[in-house]
Amino acid sequence: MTRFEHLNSQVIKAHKIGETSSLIDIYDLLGAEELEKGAITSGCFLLTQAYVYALESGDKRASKIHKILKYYGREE
Amino acid sequence: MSNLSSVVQPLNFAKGLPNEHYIDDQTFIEERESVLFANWSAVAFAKDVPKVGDVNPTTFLEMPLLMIRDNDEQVRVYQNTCLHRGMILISEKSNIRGTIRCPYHSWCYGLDGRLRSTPHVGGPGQNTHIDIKRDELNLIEIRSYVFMDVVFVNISGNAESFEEVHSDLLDRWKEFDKPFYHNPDSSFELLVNSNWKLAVENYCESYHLPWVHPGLNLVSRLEDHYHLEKHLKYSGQGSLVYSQLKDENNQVFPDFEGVSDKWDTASEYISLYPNVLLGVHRDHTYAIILDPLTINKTRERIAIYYATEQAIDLEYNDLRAKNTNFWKEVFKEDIFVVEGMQKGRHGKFFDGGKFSPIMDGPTHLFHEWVATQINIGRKKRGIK
Repeated sequence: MTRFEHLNSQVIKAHKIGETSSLIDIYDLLGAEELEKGAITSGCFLLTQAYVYALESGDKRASKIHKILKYYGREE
Repeated sequence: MSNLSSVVQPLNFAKGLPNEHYIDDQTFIEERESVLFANWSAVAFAKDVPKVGDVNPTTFLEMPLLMIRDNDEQVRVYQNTCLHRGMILISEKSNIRGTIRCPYHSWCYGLDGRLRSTPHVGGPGQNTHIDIKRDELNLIEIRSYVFMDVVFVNISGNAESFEEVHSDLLDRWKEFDKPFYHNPDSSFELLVNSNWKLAVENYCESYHLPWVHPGLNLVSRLEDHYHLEKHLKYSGQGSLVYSQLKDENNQVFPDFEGVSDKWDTASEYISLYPNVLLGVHRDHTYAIILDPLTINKTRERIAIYYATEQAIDLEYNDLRAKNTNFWKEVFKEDIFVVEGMQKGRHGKFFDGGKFSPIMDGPTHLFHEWVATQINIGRKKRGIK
Protein backbone atom coordinates (compact mmCIF):
# COMPACT_ATOMS: atom_id res chain seq x y z
CA MET A 1 0.00 0.00 0.00
CA THR A 2 1.39 3.40 -0.93
CA ARG A 3 1.53 6.23 1.58
CA PHE A 4 -1.30 7.97 -0.29
CA GLU A 5 -3.47 4.84 -0.19
CA HIS A 6 -2.74 4.43 3.49
CA LEU A 7 -3.72 8.05 4.30
CA ASN A 8 -6.77 7.82 2.09
CA SER A 9 -8.03 4.76 3.94
CA GLN A 10 -7.35 6.51 7.24
CA VAL A 11 -9.37 9.54 6.11
CA ILE A 12 -12.29 7.35 5.05
CA LYS A 13 -12.20 5.46 8.33
CA ALA A 14 -11.97 8.65 10.41
CA HIS A 15 -14.92 10.16 8.51
CA LYS A 16 -16.94 7.02 9.08
CA ILE A 17 -16.42 6.95 12.83
CA GLY A 18 -16.33 10.72 13.30
CA GLU A 19 -12.74 10.75 14.53
CA THR A 20 -12.25 14.46 14.06
CA SER A 21 -8.81 14.70 15.63
CA SER A 22 -7.36 12.23 13.12
CA LEU A 23 -8.96 14.13 10.26
CA ILE A 24 -7.30 17.33 11.45
CA ASP A 25 -3.95 15.52 11.74
CA ILE A 26 -4.07 14.10 8.24
CA TYR A 27 -5.47 17.12 6.41
CA ASP A 28 -3.10 19.44 8.26
CA LEU A 29 -0.09 17.30 7.41
CA LEU A 30 -1.00 16.92 3.74
CA GLY A 31 -1.92 20.59 3.43
CA ALA A 32 1.43 21.67 4.83
CA GLU A 33 3.25 19.32 2.43
CA GLU A 34 1.38 20.75 -0.56
CA LEU A 35 2.24 24.28 0.47
CA GLU A 36 5.89 23.34 0.81
CA LYS A 37 5.75 22.11 -2.77
CA GLY A 38 4.27 25.43 -3.81
CA ALA A 39 0.86 23.92 -4.57
CA ILE A 40 -1.10 26.73 -2.95
CA THR A 41 -4.61 25.81 -4.06
CA SER A 42 -4.45 22.16 -3.10
CA GLY A 43 -2.60 23.06 0.11
CA CYS A 44 -5.29 25.55 1.10
CA PHE A 45 -7.97 23.06 0.12
CA LEU A 46 -6.55 20.47 2.52
CA LEU A 47 -5.92 23.00 5.25
CA THR A 48 -9.50 24.19 4.90
CA GLN A 49 -10.64 20.65 5.55
CA ALA A 50 -8.46 20.58 8.67
CA TYR A 51 -9.66 24.04 9.70
CA VAL A 52 -13.36 23.13 9.50
CA TYR A 53 -12.93 20.05 11.70
CA ALA A 54 -10.77 22.01 14.12
CA LEU A 55 -13.42 24.72 14.32
CA GLU A 56 -16.17 22.18 14.80
CA SER A 57 -14.42 20.36 17.61
CA GLY A 58 -12.99 23.43 19.33
CA ASP A 59 -9.48 22.16 18.60
CA LYS A 60 -6.81 24.74 19.36
CA ARG A 61 -5.11 24.08 16.02
CA ALA A 62 -7.93 26.09 14.40
CA SER A 63 -6.25 29.40 15.15
CA LYS A 64 -2.87 28.31 13.69
CA ILE A 65 -4.52 27.02 10.50
CA HIS A 66 -6.65 30.13 10.28
CA LYS A 67 -3.51 32.27 10.27
CA ILE A 68 -2.06 30.29 7.36
CA LEU A 69 -5.27 30.45 5.35
CA LYS A 70 -5.52 34.15 6.00
CA TYR A 71 -1.90 34.63 4.92
CA TYR A 72 -2.77 33.09 1.56
CA GLY A 73 -5.93 35.25 1.31
CA ARG A 74 -8.19 32.24 1.73
CA GLU A 75 -9.95 33.12 4.97
CA GLU A 76 -11.28 36.26 6.68
CA MET B 1 -63.36 31.90 8.07
CA SER B 2 -64.74 31.45 11.57
CA ASN B 3 -67.17 33.94 13.10
CA LEU B 4 -65.85 35.06 16.48
CA SER B 5 -68.32 37.77 17.39
CA SER B 6 -70.09 35.67 20.02
CA VAL B 7 -66.80 34.52 21.59
CA VAL B 8 -65.79 38.01 22.67
CA GLN B 9 -69.13 38.73 24.38
CA PRO B 10 -69.28 38.92 28.20
CA LEU B 11 -69.18 35.52 29.91
CA ASN B 12 -72.93 35.23 30.60
CA PHE B 13 -73.79 35.70 26.93
CA ALA B 14 -70.71 34.36 25.16
CA LYS B 15 -70.27 31.19 23.18
CA GLY B 16 -67.07 29.19 22.94
CA LEU B 17 -64.82 29.09 19.90
CA PRO B 18 -66.61 27.59 16.91
CA ASN B 19 -65.91 24.06 15.68
CA GLU B 20 -63.55 25.22 12.93
CA HIS B 21 -60.97 26.00 15.59
CA TYR B 22 -60.76 22.31 16.44
CA ILE B 23 -61.35 20.49 13.18
CA ASP B 24 -60.54 22.76 10.23
CA ASP B 25 -56.97 22.69 8.85
CA GLN B 26 -57.16 26.21 7.42
CA THR B 27 -58.13 27.57 10.82
CA PHE B 28 -55.27 25.61 12.36
CA ILE B 29 -52.87 27.43 10.01
CA GLU B 30 -54.48 30.75 10.92
CA GLU B 31 -54.01 29.96 14.62
CA ARG B 32 -50.41 28.95 14.03
CA GLU B 33 -49.62 32.42 12.73
CA SER B 34 -51.94 34.63 14.78
CA VAL B 35 -52.04 32.76 18.08
CA LEU B 36 -48.92 30.63 18.45
CA PHE B 37 -46.24 32.39 16.36
CA ALA B 38 -47.41 35.92 17.20
CA ASN B 39 -47.20 35.39 20.97
CA TRP B 40 -44.84 33.82 23.50
CA SER B 41 -45.24 30.07 23.02
CA ALA B 42 -43.54 27.37 25.04
CA VAL B 43 -41.31 25.07 22.99
CA ALA B 44 -38.79 23.39 25.30
CA PHE B 45 -37.31 23.03 28.76
CA ALA B 46 -34.00 24.71 29.60
CA LYS B 47 -33.08 21.62 31.62
CA ASP B 48 -32.52 19.87 28.29
CA VAL B 49 -29.42 22.00 27.62
CA PRO B 50 -27.74 21.96 31.04
CA LYS B 51 -24.12 22.54 29.95
CA VAL B 52 -22.37 25.13 27.81
CA GLY B 53 -22.38 23.89 24.22
CA ASP B 54 -25.41 21.64 24.64
CA VAL B 55 -27.68 21.79 21.63
CA ASN B 56 -31.15 20.38 21.39
CA PRO B 57 -33.16 20.48 18.17
CA THR B 58 -36.93 20.60 18.26
CA THR B 59 -39.78 21.60 16.02
CA PHE B 60 -42.77 23.74 16.80
CA LEU B 61 -45.60 23.44 14.31
CA GLU B 62 -42.96 22.13 11.88
CA MET B 63 -40.75 25.17 12.41
CA PRO B 64 -37.24 23.77 13.01
CA LEU B 65 -35.68 25.26 16.13
CA LEU B 66 -32.34 24.77 17.81
CA MET B 67 -32.03 25.45 21.52
CA ILE B 68 -28.48 25.93 22.76
CA ARG B 69 -26.63 26.89 25.94
CA ASP B 70 -24.10 29.51 24.84
CA ASN B 71 -20.68 30.36 26.27
CA ASP B 72 -22.29 32.82 28.72
CA GLU B 73 -24.52 29.95 29.94
CA GLN B 74 -27.57 31.63 28.44
CA VAL B 75 -30.22 29.70 26.56
CA ARG B 76 -30.64 30.82 22.97
CA VAL B 77 -32.94 29.60 20.23
CA TYR B 78 -32.09 29.68 16.54
CA GLN B 79 -33.89 28.64 13.43
CA ASN B 80 -32.27 25.25 12.85
CA THR B 81 -31.65 25.93 9.18
CA CYS B 82 -28.39 26.70 7.39
CA LEU B 83 -28.46 30.01 5.53
CA HIS B 84 -26.77 28.40 2.54
CA ARG B 85 -29.07 25.69 1.17
CA GLY B 86 -31.60 25.42 3.96
CA MET B 87 -30.23 22.19 5.38
CA ILE B 88 -31.19 21.23 8.92
CA LEU B 89 -28.11 21.99 10.97
CA ILE B 90 -28.47 19.77 14.02
CA SER B 91 -30.58 16.60 14.05
CA GLU B 92 -29.77 15.16 17.44
CA LYS B 93 -29.23 16.38 20.95
CA SER B 94 -25.47 16.77 21.47
CA ASN B 95 -22.71 18.94 22.87
CA ILE B 96 -20.84 21.32 20.59
CA ARG B 97 -17.28 21.99 21.69
CA GLY B 98 -16.52 24.39 18.86
CA THR B 99 -18.88 25.46 16.11
CA ILE B 100 -22.09 24.20 14.60
CA ARG B 101 -21.12 22.65 11.27
CA CYS B 102 -23.73 22.21 8.59
CA PRO B 103 -23.47 18.57 7.47
CA TYR B 104 -24.04 19.52 3.83
CA HIS B 105 -21.29 22.02 2.77
CA SER B 106 -19.81 22.59 6.23
CA TRP B 107 -20.67 26.23 6.75
CA CYS B 108 -19.77 26.78 10.41
CA TYR B 109 -21.60 28.90 12.96
CA GLY B 110 -20.54 29.84 16.48
CA LEU B 111 -22.78 29.29 19.48
CA ASP B 112 -23.40 33.04 19.25
CA GLY B 113 -24.93 32.41 15.81
CA ARG B 114 -22.07 34.13 13.95
CA LEU B 115 -21.07 32.58 10.61
CA ARG B 116 -17.45 31.61 11.17
CA SER B 117 -16.43 29.86 7.98
CA THR B 118 -17.69 29.16 4.47
CA PRO B 119 -15.29 26.51 3.20
CA HIS B 120 -14.52 26.52 -0.51
CA VAL B 121 -17.25 29.09 -1.13
CA GLY B 122 -15.01 30.93 -3.60
CA GLY B 123 -13.66 27.73 -5.17
CA PRO B 124 -11.40 24.94 -3.84
CA GLY B 125 -9.37 26.19 -0.91
CA GLN B 126 -10.82 29.68 -1.21
CA ASN B 127 -13.13 30.31 1.73
CA THR B 128 -14.19 33.87 0.97
CA HIS B 129 -15.94 35.69 -1.83
CA ILE B 130 -16.68 39.36 -2.24
CA ASP B 131 -20.42 38.63 -2.39
CA ILE B 132 -20.50 36.33 0.60
CA LYS B 133 -20.88 38.78 3.47
CA ARG B 134 -20.65 36.71 6.61
CA ASP B 135 -22.08 39.36 8.89
CA GLU B 136 -25.30 39.19 6.87
CA LEU B 137 -25.48 35.42 7.12
CA ASN B 138 -25.56 34.75 10.83
CA LEU B 139 -28.01 32.20 12.18
CA ILE B 140 -31.52 33.54 12.57
CA GLU B 141 -32.08 33.97 16.27
CA ILE B 142 -35.60 33.56 17.59
CA ARG B 143 -36.59 35.76 20.53
CA SER B 144 -36.67 33.60 23.61
CA TYR B 145 -37.24 33.86 27.33
CA VAL B 146 -36.90 31.32 30.11
CA PHE B 147 -39.51 31.33 32.88
CA MET B 148 -39.84 28.50 35.39
CA ASP B 149 -37.37 26.58 33.21
CA VAL B 150 -39.77 26.73 30.27
CA VAL B 151 -38.29 28.17 27.08
CA PHE B 152 -40.74 30.52 25.41
CA VAL B 153 -40.26 31.87 21.90
CA ASN B 154 -41.89 34.65 19.96
CA ILE B 155 -41.47 33.51 16.38
CA SER B 156 -43.05 36.55 14.74
CA GLY B 157 -40.49 38.67 16.60
CA ASN B 158 -42.85 41.54 17.25
CA ALA B 159 -44.73 40.70 20.44
CA GLU B 160 -44.16 42.90 23.47
CA SER B 161 -41.37 41.59 25.69
CA PHE B 162 -42.16 38.56 27.84
CA GLU B 163 -41.67 40.63 31.00
CA GLU B 164 -44.26 43.15 29.80
CA VAL B 165 -46.79 40.61 28.62
CA HIS B 166 -46.54 38.49 31.76
CA SER B 167 -45.66 41.08 34.39
CA ASP B 168 -48.72 40.10 36.47
CA LEU B 169 -47.74 36.47 36.70
CA LEU B 170 -44.06 37.26 37.24
CA ASP B 171 -45.17 39.36 40.19
CA ARG B 172 -47.78 36.90 41.47
CA TRP B 173 -45.28 34.04 41.56
CA LYS B 174 -42.13 36.00 42.35
CA GLU B 175 -41.63 33.86 45.44
CA PHE B 176 -40.86 30.99 43.08
CA ASP B 177 -38.26 32.94 41.11
CA LYS B 178 -35.52 30.69 42.44
CA PRO B 179 -33.31 27.91 41.12
CA PHE B 180 -35.30 24.83 40.18
CA TYR B 181 -33.93 21.31 40.45
CA HIS B 182 -34.90 18.50 38.14
CA ASN B 183 -34.16 14.81 37.98
CA PRO B 184 -34.80 13.12 34.60
CA ASP B 185 -37.06 10.64 36.42
CA SER B 186 -39.51 13.51 36.86
CA SER B 187 -40.25 14.07 33.18
CA PHE B 188 -42.78 12.25 31.04
CA GLU B 189 -44.93 12.72 27.97
CA LEU B 190 -48.53 12.02 27.06
CA LEU B 191 -49.90 11.89 23.54
CA VAL B 192 -53.52 12.95 23.21
CA ASN B 193 -55.86 12.84 20.24
CA SER B 194 -57.09 16.33 20.76
CA ASN B 195 -56.58 19.88 19.67
CA TRP B 196 -54.09 21.66 21.93
CA LYS B 197 -56.62 24.24 23.11
CA LEU B 198 -58.85 21.66 24.76
CA ALA B 199 -56.02 20.78 27.14
CA VAL B 200 -55.69 24.47 28.04
CA GLU B 201 -59.43 24.86 28.57
CA ASN B 202 -59.70 21.81 30.74
CA TYR B 203 -56.71 22.77 32.86
CA CYS B 204 -57.81 26.25 33.76
CA GLU B 205 -61.15 25.40 35.40
CA SER B 206 -62.00 23.51 38.57
CA TYR B 207 -65.62 22.81 37.55
CA HIS B 208 -64.73 19.33 36.26
CA LEU B 209 -62.77 18.21 39.33
CA PRO B 210 -65.58 16.42 41.25
CA TRP B 211 -66.43 14.28 38.23
CA VAL B 212 -63.17 13.69 36.46
CA HIS B 213 -60.88 13.57 39.50
CA PRO B 214 -63.12 12.03 42.19
CA GLY B 215 -60.04 11.23 44.23
CA LEU B 216 -59.80 14.92 45.03
CA ASN B 217 -63.33 15.25 46.43
CA LEU B 218 -62.44 14.54 50.03
CA VAL B 219 -59.01 16.14 50.12
CA SER B 220 -59.44 19.10 47.78
CA ARG B 221 -63.10 19.82 47.30
CA LEU B 222 -64.59 22.09 44.70
CA GLU B 223 -65.33 24.81 47.25
CA ASP B 224 -61.67 24.83 48.27
CA HIS B 225 -60.76 26.21 44.84
CA TYR B 226 -60.78 29.75 43.51
CA HIS B 227 -60.53 31.19 40.03
CA LEU B 228 -57.40 32.88 38.76
CA GLU B 229 -58.36 35.30 36.04
CA LYS B 230 -56.20 37.87 34.33
CA HIS B 231 -57.89 39.29 31.30
CA LEU B 232 -56.01 38.53 28.06
CA LYS B 233 -53.05 37.03 29.98
CA TYR B 234 -53.80 33.83 31.84
CA SER B 235 -56.43 31.95 33.77
CA GLY B 236 -56.54 29.05 36.13
CA GLN B 237 -57.46 27.88 39.56
CA GLY B 238 -56.03 27.88 43.02
CA SER B 239 -56.55 25.51 45.92
CA LEU B 240 -56.59 26.39 49.61
CA VAL B 241 -55.95 22.91 50.90
CA TYR B 242 -52.65 21.76 49.45
CA SER B 243 -51.20 19.01 51.56
CA GLN B 244 -47.64 17.82 51.09
CA LEU B 245 -46.99 14.32 49.88
CA LYS B 246 -45.38 12.09 52.52
CA ASP B 247 -43.55 8.80 52.44
CA GLU B 248 -43.95 6.00 54.98
CA ASN B 249 -41.55 7.82 57.33
CA ASN B 250 -43.55 11.04 57.02
CA GLN B 251 -40.74 12.61 55.05
CA VAL B 252 -41.78 15.49 52.81
CA PHE B 253 -39.95 17.39 50.09
CA PRO B 254 -38.01 20.46 51.25
CA ASP B 255 -39.73 23.82 50.67
CA PHE B 256 -38.61 26.60 48.39
CA GLU B 257 -36.57 28.93 50.51
CA GLY B 258 -38.45 31.89 51.94
CA VAL B 259 -41.93 31.16 50.57
CA SER B 260 -44.60 32.94 52.60
CA ASP B 261 -47.17 31.32 54.91
CA LYS B 262 -49.84 31.60 52.24
CA TRP B 263 -48.24 28.65 50.49
CA ASP B 264 -48.40 26.37 53.52
CA THR B 265 -51.74 25.12 52.23
CA ALA B 266 -52.11 26.92 48.89
CA SER B 267 -51.31 25.77 45.39
CA GLU B 268 -52.04 27.41 42.07
CA TYR B 269 -52.52 26.10 38.55
CA ILE B 270 -52.37 28.46 35.62
CA SER B 271 -52.81 28.13 31.89
CA LEU B 272 -50.34 30.65 30.59
CA TYR B 273 -51.55 31.53 27.13
CA PRO B 274 -51.11 30.13 24.65
CA ASN B 275 -49.70 26.70 25.39
CA VAL B 276 -48.18 26.06 28.77
CA LEU B 277 -49.81 24.75 31.93
CA LEU B 278 -48.06 25.54 35.20
CA GLY B 279 -48.48 24.45 38.80
CA VAL B 280 -46.79 25.77 41.94
CA HIS B 281 -46.63 24.35 45.45
CA ARG B 282 -44.44 25.09 48.44
CA ASP B 283 -42.18 22.13 47.62
CA HIS B 284 -42.43 21.55 43.87
CA THR B 285 -43.58 23.05 40.61
CA TYR B 286 -44.35 21.58 37.25
CA ALA B 287 -44.85 22.69 33.69
CA ILE B 288 -46.74 21.05 30.86
CA ILE B 289 -45.79 22.18 27.39
CA LEU B 290 -48.52 21.55 24.84
CA ASP B 291 -46.94 20.76 21.51
CA PRO B 292 -49.60 20.93 18.77
CA LEU B 293 -48.53 18.18 16.38
CA THR B 294 -51.58 18.49 14.15
CA ILE B 295 -55.03 19.99 14.56
CA ASN B 296 -56.17 16.93 16.50
CA LYS B 297 -52.96 15.57 18.04
CA THR B 298 -51.09 17.12 20.92
CA ARG B 299 -47.98 16.03 22.71
CA GLU B 300 -47.96 16.98 26.39
CA ARG B 301 -44.43 17.29 27.74
CA ILE B 302 -44.34 17.35 31.52
CA ALA B 303 -41.45 18.24 33.84
CA ILE B 304 -41.60 18.39 37.63
CA TYR B 305 -39.13 20.56 39.55
CA TYR B 306 -38.05 20.64 43.16
CA ALA B 307 -36.83 23.30 45.55
CA THR B 308 -33.42 21.95 46.53
CA GLU B 309 -30.64 19.80 45.16
CA GLN B 310 -31.29 17.35 47.98
CA ALA B 311 -34.81 16.69 46.67
CA ILE B 312 -33.47 15.34 43.38
CA ASP B 313 -30.95 13.10 45.09
CA LEU B 314 -31.08 9.40 45.89
CA GLU B 315 -32.76 9.73 49.29
CA TYR B 316 -35.88 11.19 47.68
CA ASN B 317 -36.11 8.64 44.84
CA ASP B 318 -39.20 6.92 46.20
CA LEU B 319 -41.03 10.09 47.11
CA ARG B 320 -40.26 11.59 43.70
CA ALA B 321 -41.55 8.45 42.01
CA LYS B 322 -44.72 8.70 44.08
CA ASN B 323 -45.18 12.35 43.15
CA THR B 324 -44.52 11.74 39.45
CA ASN B 325 -46.98 8.89 39.50
CA PHE B 326 -49.60 11.01 41.28
CA TRP B 327 -49.46 13.74 38.66
CA LYS B 328 -49.27 11.28 35.79
CA GLU B 329 -52.49 9.65 36.98
CA VAL B 330 -54.21 13.03 37.42
CA PHE B 331 -53.20 14.16 33.92
CA LYS B 332 -54.20 10.82 32.43
CA GLU B 333 -57.64 11.16 34.01
CA ASP B 334 -58.12 14.25 31.82
CA ILE B 335 -57.34 12.49 28.54
CA PHE B 336 -60.80 11.04 27.94
CA VAL B 337 -62.27 14.50 28.45
CA VAL B 338 -60.09 16.36 25.98
CA GLU B 339 -60.37 13.54 23.46
CA GLY B 340 -64.13 13.41 24.00
CA MET B 341 -64.47 17.15 23.44
CA GLN B 342 -62.41 16.79 20.27
CA LYS B 343 -64.85 14.19 18.94
CA GLY B 344 -67.76 16.35 20.07
CA ARG B 345 -66.50 19.23 17.92
CA HIS B 346 -67.56 17.27 14.84
CA GLY B 347 -71.18 17.74 15.93
CA LYS B 348 -72.22 20.16 13.23
CA PHE B 349 -74.87 21.80 15.38
CA PHE B 350 -72.52 22.47 18.28
CA ASP B 351 -72.19 26.24 18.51
CA GLY B 352 -69.14 26.63 20.73
CA GLY B 353 -71.05 25.88 23.90
CA LYS B 354 -72.78 27.77 26.71
CA PHE B 355 -70.57 28.77 29.62
CA SER B 356 -71.52 28.56 33.28
CA PRO B 357 -71.58 32.21 34.39
CA ILE B 358 -70.08 31.15 37.73
CA MET B 359 -67.76 28.24 36.99
CA ASP B 360 -66.48 28.82 33.45
CA GLY B 361 -64.93 32.27 33.74
CA PRO B 362 -61.33 31.03 33.31
CA THR B 363 -62.27 28.98 30.23
CA HIS B 364 -64.10 31.89 28.68
CA LEU B 365 -61.07 34.11 29.24
CA PHE B 366 -58.95 31.73 27.20
CA HIS B 367 -61.49 31.59 24.37
CA GLU B 368 -61.73 35.37 24.38
CA TRP B 369 -57.94 35.64 24.25
CA VAL B 370 -57.69 33.26 21.28
CA ALA B 371 -60.45 35.12 19.46
CA THR B 372 -58.71 38.42 20.17
CA GLN B 373 -55.42 37.14 18.72
CA ILE B 374 -57.21 35.85 15.63
CA ASN B 375 -58.95 39.20 15.20
CA ILE B 376 -55.63 41.06 15.54
CA GLY B 377 -54.15 38.80 12.86
CA ARG B 378 -57.11 39.36 10.54
CA LYS B 379 -56.87 43.11 11.04
CA LYS B 380 -53.17 43.04 10.16
CA ARG B 381 -54.03 41.17 6.98
CA GLY B 382 -56.74 43.69 6.17
CA ILE B 383 -59.60 41.28 6.82
CA LYS B 384 -62.58 42.73 8.67
